[in-house]
Amino acid sequence: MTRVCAAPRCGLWVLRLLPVLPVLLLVLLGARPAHAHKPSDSYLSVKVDGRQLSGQWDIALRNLDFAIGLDADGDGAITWGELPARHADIAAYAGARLMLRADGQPCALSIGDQAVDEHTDGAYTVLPLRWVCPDAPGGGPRSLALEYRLFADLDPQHRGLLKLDAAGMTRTAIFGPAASLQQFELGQASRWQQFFDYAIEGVWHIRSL
Amino acid sequence: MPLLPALAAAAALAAPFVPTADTQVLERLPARASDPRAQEMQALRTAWRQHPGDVTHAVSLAERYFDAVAAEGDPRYIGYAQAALAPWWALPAPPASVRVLRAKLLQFDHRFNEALADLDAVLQADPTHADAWSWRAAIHMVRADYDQARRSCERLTPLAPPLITVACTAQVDAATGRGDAAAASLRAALASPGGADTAQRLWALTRLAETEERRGDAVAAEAAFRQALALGVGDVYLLAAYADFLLDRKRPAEVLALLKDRGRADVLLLRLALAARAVGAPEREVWARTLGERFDAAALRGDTTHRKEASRYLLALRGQPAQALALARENFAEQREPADARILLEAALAARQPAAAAPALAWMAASGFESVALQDLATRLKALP
Repeated sequence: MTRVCAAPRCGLWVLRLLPVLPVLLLVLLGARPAHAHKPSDSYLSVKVDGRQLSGQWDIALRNLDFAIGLDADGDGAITWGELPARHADIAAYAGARLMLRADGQPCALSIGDQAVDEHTDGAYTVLPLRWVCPDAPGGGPRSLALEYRLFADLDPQHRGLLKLDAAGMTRTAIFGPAASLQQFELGQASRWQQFFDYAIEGVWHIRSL
Repeated sequence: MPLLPALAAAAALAAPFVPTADTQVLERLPARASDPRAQEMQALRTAWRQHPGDVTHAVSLAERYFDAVAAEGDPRYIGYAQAALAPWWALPAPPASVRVLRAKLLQFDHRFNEALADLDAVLQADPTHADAWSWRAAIHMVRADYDQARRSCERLTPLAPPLITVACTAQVDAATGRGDAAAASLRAALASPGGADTAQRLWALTRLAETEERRGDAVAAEAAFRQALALGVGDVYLLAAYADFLLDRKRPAEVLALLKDRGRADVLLLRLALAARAVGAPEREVWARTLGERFDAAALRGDTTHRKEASRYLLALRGQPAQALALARENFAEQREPADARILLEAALAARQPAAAAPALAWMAASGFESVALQDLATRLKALP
């Protein structure tokens, strides 16, 4: 990440000293590595076991606070006591932004009791997920389509990182505004994909699952 | 996925839990609701929400978010700013105020070509746009296009205060074999009375400190660093630069004191971890592991903008010179500042692959860049069998 400006100071003086200038000026602090925190991500895990579809979704409390407000007393800290009262709102907000179709048919999502987990950049709510899909012939869905729109209107840089377990294989995907709808054919991973999945699996274990 | 090997070593299993006490603090937000800056931001956000199609409201809010990135070091604000500009974001030629801001946001993702295209288009229509000239200079500096950077500084000169324009040119001088002149002009500009505010002095002093350090005048460099720190701003870049200065001089204990409680910023956590390792502090492993996890988490989302820091982490904290070298080479292909050259030289030296350092050596030769530390590394590389 690169930063050129030592803001917020950098803009203000221009307004004071050079009111004719059209916009904020400067700091040529030379574009800088300032990847001070990780950008916003959520961690979504989906497991297909025959007709059972379940999962877990970890969403940063800071992001949820920005979207729907969690700091009830406004003291700059989110306490556990402030969360249960908002669990229904969190579930409604998140659930409305995640659509799953199995073999083209929409599945109904229910979200269970929330817990908390620590990721590298702070605390996340942990949403247990379960889907009920229309009955399909055979043992389970052949394809899944996921549509992910969490925070799309608030933060186009937000990404949903998916880990999908199905038919004995794990695959991963990154959702964002340019890739909000993705389809997965189950049981059709290449040998290379399996190898790659194996490498990724280690990574994902730092996450909550 | 070059970071993957690091990860296995750094992995720490976390598990969901249900807190037992209502009073347990789970997360700290950047500000209390009553904080004046938070209220200002909230007011701007409210105004924007009421008029999302009004470019003035949108730019005001996006500018405020952009400022918050550097102040708080949280890249989430980049996305928030982009969201405010959504109606214009994808337009080929948005209004100038949006377009300059778009360039500033794009360069965060190292999309330098697109950023420069936006700035050049704005400047074509309005050659007196000081903000656009200043950012153009900064991006050209990162890309080691010193002629273009110098030209931008020249165009900025009638549009901005003297300290800024002097420092703009001085940074180009310092990168092109004129370190003595750069230091002298910075000193003179800093000494001359009038006008300069804290932000300008901070920036000029930081430039002076770096220039003096590269010239090998550690005493003058430290004096400038300390003057900059005495301004009390807590700038992340300044803290990182001074920490590196101290680490280079085997003064890690001072780094631990300087950066106490600043580990939320990755660039500062890197320095903390390096210092902790040097003194054998108890936090050394947890800081190194946390840093590794942050890099891995960023890699998961396809983010490659922190390769310089990740390379340094792999080299100095994980003892993986080959992987560090791979990242340093990729990084240098995109960014060519002294720190980018340094990690490439160091990684090539540690991996005993002098040929891999060729791009950095070529850059040093072509620019005439003066740096005692870089010259020393180059000499040691050439001495490799």
